Order: sequence, then structure tokens, then C-alpha cells
Amino acid sequence: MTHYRREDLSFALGLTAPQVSAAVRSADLDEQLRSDALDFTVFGIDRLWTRPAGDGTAVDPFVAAVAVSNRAGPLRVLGTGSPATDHPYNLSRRAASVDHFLAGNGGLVLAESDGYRGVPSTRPPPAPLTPSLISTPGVATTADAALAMVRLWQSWADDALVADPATRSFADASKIRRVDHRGLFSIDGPSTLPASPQGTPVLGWYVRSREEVAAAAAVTDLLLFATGGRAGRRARGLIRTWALAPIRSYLELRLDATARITDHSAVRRPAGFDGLLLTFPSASLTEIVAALRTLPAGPAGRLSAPRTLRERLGLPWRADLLQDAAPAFSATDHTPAGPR
Amino acid sequence: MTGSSALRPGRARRQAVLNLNLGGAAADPQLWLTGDRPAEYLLTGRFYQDVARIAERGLLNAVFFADVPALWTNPQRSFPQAMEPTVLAARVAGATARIGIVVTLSTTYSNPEELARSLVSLQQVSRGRMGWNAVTTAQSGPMGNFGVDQYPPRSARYLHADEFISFVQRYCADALADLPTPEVYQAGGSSEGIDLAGKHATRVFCSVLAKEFAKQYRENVRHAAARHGRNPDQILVLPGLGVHLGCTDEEARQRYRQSRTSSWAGRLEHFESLLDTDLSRFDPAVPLSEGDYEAITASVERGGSLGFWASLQAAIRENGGRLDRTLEIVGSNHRQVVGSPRTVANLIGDWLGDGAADGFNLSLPNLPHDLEWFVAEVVPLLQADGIYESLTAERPITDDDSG
Repeated sequence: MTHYRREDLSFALGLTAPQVSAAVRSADLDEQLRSDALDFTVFGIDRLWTRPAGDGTAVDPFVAAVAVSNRAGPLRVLGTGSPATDHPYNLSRRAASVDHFLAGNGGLVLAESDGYRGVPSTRPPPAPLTPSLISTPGVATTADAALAMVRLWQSWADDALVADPATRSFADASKIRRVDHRGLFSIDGPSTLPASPQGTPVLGWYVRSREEVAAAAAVTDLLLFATGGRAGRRARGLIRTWALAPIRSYLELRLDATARITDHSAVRRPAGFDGLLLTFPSASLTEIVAALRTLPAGPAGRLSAPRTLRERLGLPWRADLLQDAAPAFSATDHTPAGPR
Repeated sequence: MTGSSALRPGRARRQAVLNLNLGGAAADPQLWLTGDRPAEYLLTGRFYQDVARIAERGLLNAVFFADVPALWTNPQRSFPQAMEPTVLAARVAGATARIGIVVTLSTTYSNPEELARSLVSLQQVSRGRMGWNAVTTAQSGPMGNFGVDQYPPRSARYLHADEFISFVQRYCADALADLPTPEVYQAGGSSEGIDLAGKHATRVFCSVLAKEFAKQYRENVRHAAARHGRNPDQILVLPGLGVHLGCTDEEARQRYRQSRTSSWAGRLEHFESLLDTDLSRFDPAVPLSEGDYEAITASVERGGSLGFWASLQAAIRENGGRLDRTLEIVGSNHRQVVGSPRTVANLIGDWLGDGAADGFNLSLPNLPHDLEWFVAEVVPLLQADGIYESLTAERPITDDDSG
């Protein structure tokens, strides 16, 4: 029995660390990852949970995303991270680099805390020399990091990259702006990277509470609602209240290894959400492939295939947060040229 | 190894270990000024993949990515060191099968667990080809990106780096049951950096501008290894070397002059950023006094690269104390060789034979063209000279790397 009409509902997939590791080693899932049936795949979804999946294996979601796309072609992939254990400058740079490699089909999902912390090593790491590399987990920390990252991604204006041999200009330095973010994090910027083909990478937040929804809706593109979280009810009202721009919302649906998605009673469009984030906490790749094969094809009738993830999700180009920011370089700055 | 045998002057290795430094490679304006390579060629990583494949074909040991977590030079004329090194390494790993991949990651601006997890993942993706250039990041550029008002003292940075590297090595050993732990590179030239290399590193990337200085530096590294109870032969010293080829020496000099698009002031500013010291108050045509050297040293000690200053100071003294002559010869922060393939091969052989180096971390302009040239004409000369194996024993690869 089918409980939904495909045109009403979008699907995304979340892979745990053991599943990501398997996807790096095996091409079994490549076809599904490329498939139009999925909006995107989150690598390292268990990093956003309170405990990681499986045997505690932890992988770097961004490294894995690049490794799989090397083989399978450009994918629509979101990595995961938390400002509790990594600095927004580092997180933003990794996400932006992957987004360029994926031709504007990448992004990042944040969570308040990091499920991979302390995994798998039982030895405590040395305290970071730079205090801001580890922060107190919380809504305020995550919201501030999210805002800082958007500013970093916008620090090169969309037209700052020139690469014009006629004028010998690689970049218009006047359009590379200081970030000067002064919140819980203090970040001068600018980013090392030009703007993404989709303007800024898609930024998500894995939310559990109404407080998180309110904070996330004001700054992110995407809300992923945790299974069983208290934020699910009345989500649409919260988003409408807080969102400054259109955003997408997905409700996590945890399925067992033998799930046939079309038969699952929960697979219907939940009120207030655009789609479902399918996760299979204990499934093998083979079992995930079998489950995803029961998904119908993606929305039909598009005039042309979306070029970027932002286009596919119908997300707008972000408003420029740095319109009035000062240039990062003066006109008289010199550039050391040639290989070093 | 302990005892006097470990402290004998190091016998030069007969086989050169050559890496390709790609950290600043994309900063060469010629890369995009030709107009046939759009910016996407750089931004999608295809440039790095293409170059790494050529390096692999030329039996180079590794590609090396220098990095600073900040946009610290104006990209008005050239592409900066933009890509985050771990994801760039993953990109290159997918395009190659045998060549090593070395990423520069800061112990000051990285979370140890995050860094260790990335290295483990990269080691798995590359099937054991990774190296980690562990740096404490001397430049002031990243401070503002991480909310650092006062830079940690050098001693604190290196003490922390020691703990950091030890943690990462244990983490990797635990997680990588069937693969070796990534090789550790050290790039510091200060006494603290050399001691850290002696304790942890298997490769040392350094800036040495003159051969006699290089010989002393290499001996210092080997002594440091012995102090930590290690066999000095386990550490290879690989100075940076800029290679500017021509069919003849004269043609190479002409190409070098034409390719140097940076102004004298621009080069001076580059050195100032490395030393974190204002050099503009010195008349470049007037020899520096001993008081000037002392003043610069005192300034560099507050935050700049002491190792680079030691090397640059030796080069300035060799050039009569004049900054203008030194800048003309040095050109960048590494030794440059300008000449025919034979001249380049001779320099490599000369430094190896005299115990000044175990190999080099090469920089070439006009990539990938000049790397093709190096592979086609310099590599066969090195092989004919018996200082470069057809299959290098030093390559950090696994036995089953046929893929």
C-alpha cells in the first residue's frame, strides 16, 4: 500500500560512519547516490546523534564525500560538523572546498554537539592551544558559528573572481571583503575561497528543540528534524515565524534494515515538512540499496536539470550580509608571484 | 641508534627523494594568464589531479601541499592557497595510485581529534600514501581568524606540538590496523623545530638558501634524531628548490627574468610576512650592520619564522649584507636553480653528494608544462647519474598499489 504521492514528498538519505566507510570502499550505493530520487545525502549523520552508530568507527565526512565523488561523479552531499569541536573557520573552509569540487552541490549540517567526540580513541587529546577550537555546546554557539560561516562564504563577492587574461586580473580585490564577525566567535576573514557556483554552500541544522528551530530558521537553509525530537510539532508555524528566507525542512525517519519504503506507514508527507530524511541505523549498504530501490523516481516535468543543490531544493541565492563591509586588501597591496 | 656512530656526518644518500610542492603552485599567474585554463580548472581540483598524475609518472615521491589557514596574500594577480588541504588530498588520491600526498595541517589552529580523524580517513582513501606536515604556523595571518589576540610563545607552541603529534600518532596507530601511520614531516627551522623533527619526523622540509648552511642544518637534524634515540638515517632532509628550466642556461635565465612578475617591493613584502618584521626601514643598497641583524633577529623572535631568518641571514651575508642583491638572487623563500636540465641535475647531485640534502621539495613555474619537461629531461639525467631510481625505495606506498 502506498501512502503518499511522490510529487508531494522529497527524500534525502543519511549515512552513518560505518555506512560511509563502506560507501568509500564499494560502488554498491553509487547509483542511488546519483539518483534523482534523493535530494541529497548526509555523510556522517550519526555525528549529529547523541551516540555514533555501529562499532564507534568515525570517519571524516568531507574526505569521504570527495572520495566517493571521485569515483561516482559529482554528488549532492552534505557533510556534518559541530562548532563545539571545530572552529567555524575550519568548518567553513572544508565545506566550501568540497562544494567547489562538487560544482555547487555541497553543504554542511551542523549540530549543537559532536557525536564523534572521543570516538574511537580512549586517550584524551591535548587541550587545543587556541581556546576557540573547542566551545561549549549550545544553541547560541551553533547559531553564531552558522552566521560566521555564511559571512565567510560571502567574503568573496559573487563577481570577485575575474580571471581575465586581458587585464591580468585574477580577482577584483575590492570585492573581497573583511568579515569582522564579532560574536561568540571572533573571525576577521576573508575566506581563502571564491564564492561557490551556488553562491554559498547549503547550510543545515539538525534540530531537536523549539529553541534550535527558532535559531536555525533565522540563519540556515535547511532544517533536519531529529526523530522523536520535541521540535517536530508545530514546526511549520515556528519556521514561518523565524525564517528570513525560504528554507527546506525534513523529518528524520529511522528505518530498519529490511524496510520497504513504500509500505512504511510513516512515509507520508508529515505536516509542516518538505520531505523525509531516511536513516537506517543498523543496515548494510546492500540493505540500504534494496530499500531505496522501492523509492519512485524524482519529480518529473522539470524543464531542465538543476545545476546546483540550491537550485534543486528551490532555495534562493542568499542575501548579501557583507554589502557594507570593508575591502580586505588595499589597492596598494602587493602580491608575491610565482611558485614558492 | 645511540653512540658515536649516530653522530658521524651523514653519508649522503645516493638516491634523491623528490617531492613536488603544490602549495603555491596555483599562485603562478602563468597558470591562468594563458587563457586556456578557466578558473574552474583550479577550483574543481582538476589542476591538482593532472599535475599529480604527471608527478607520479615521473616517479616523484610525493606531492606536497603547503597551507596557512588565512587569505594572507592579495589574490589580485594569482590564485591563493585556497583549498582546504585534507579535502584537496582526497581529490588527488582519487586520481593517483602510487604517489605520496603530504598535507600541511597546523597544530595551533586544529583540533587534535578532528585532524587525526581526517588523517585516518585519508590514509584509508589513499591506501597508505599520506604524510602530515606538522606545523605550528608562525605567520600572524590566521590569528584574526581564530580570535587570537596574543600569539602563543614559540616554546609553548612547540611543547604543545609535541603533545599534539604524539596524540595523533597514537590515534592513527589504533585506528589503522592494516595500514602504516602517516609519515610525519616537520618544516620548522628554529632550534625548537629541529628538536621536534628529531623526535617525530621522518622527513624535514626546510628553507636553506646556501649549501654550507644546508649541510649544517642537516647535521643539526641528524643530531636531534640521535638525541631522541633514533637512527639519523630515518630522517630525510628535503630543502625547497625552485626549478626554472630552459633548453640552455641562457634561455633559462631569460625565461626566469620574464616570468618574474613581482616587483622588488612585492618580494620584500613577502619576506616581511614570513619574518613578521618590517624591513622597509633598511636601505636595500647599504650593507646591514651587526646591529641591524640583531634588531631583525629580536623582531623575528616575537612571531616570525626563525628558521627562515637563519637561512636568509646566511644568504644576505654571502651577498655583502645587501638586501637588494639577496632579493634578486633568492626570489622566494627557497633556493632557486635556473638552467638547462643538465644544470638542474648537477645541482641536485652536488647537494646530495656533499651531504647538504637527501632530496628536494621542488617548485616549478608554468605547471603542468614545466613538470612534464622536468620528468622528460631531468629525471632521465638523474637516473643516468645513478642518483634517482627507476622505482624509488623511498616511496611511501603499500605493496598492493597496482590500482
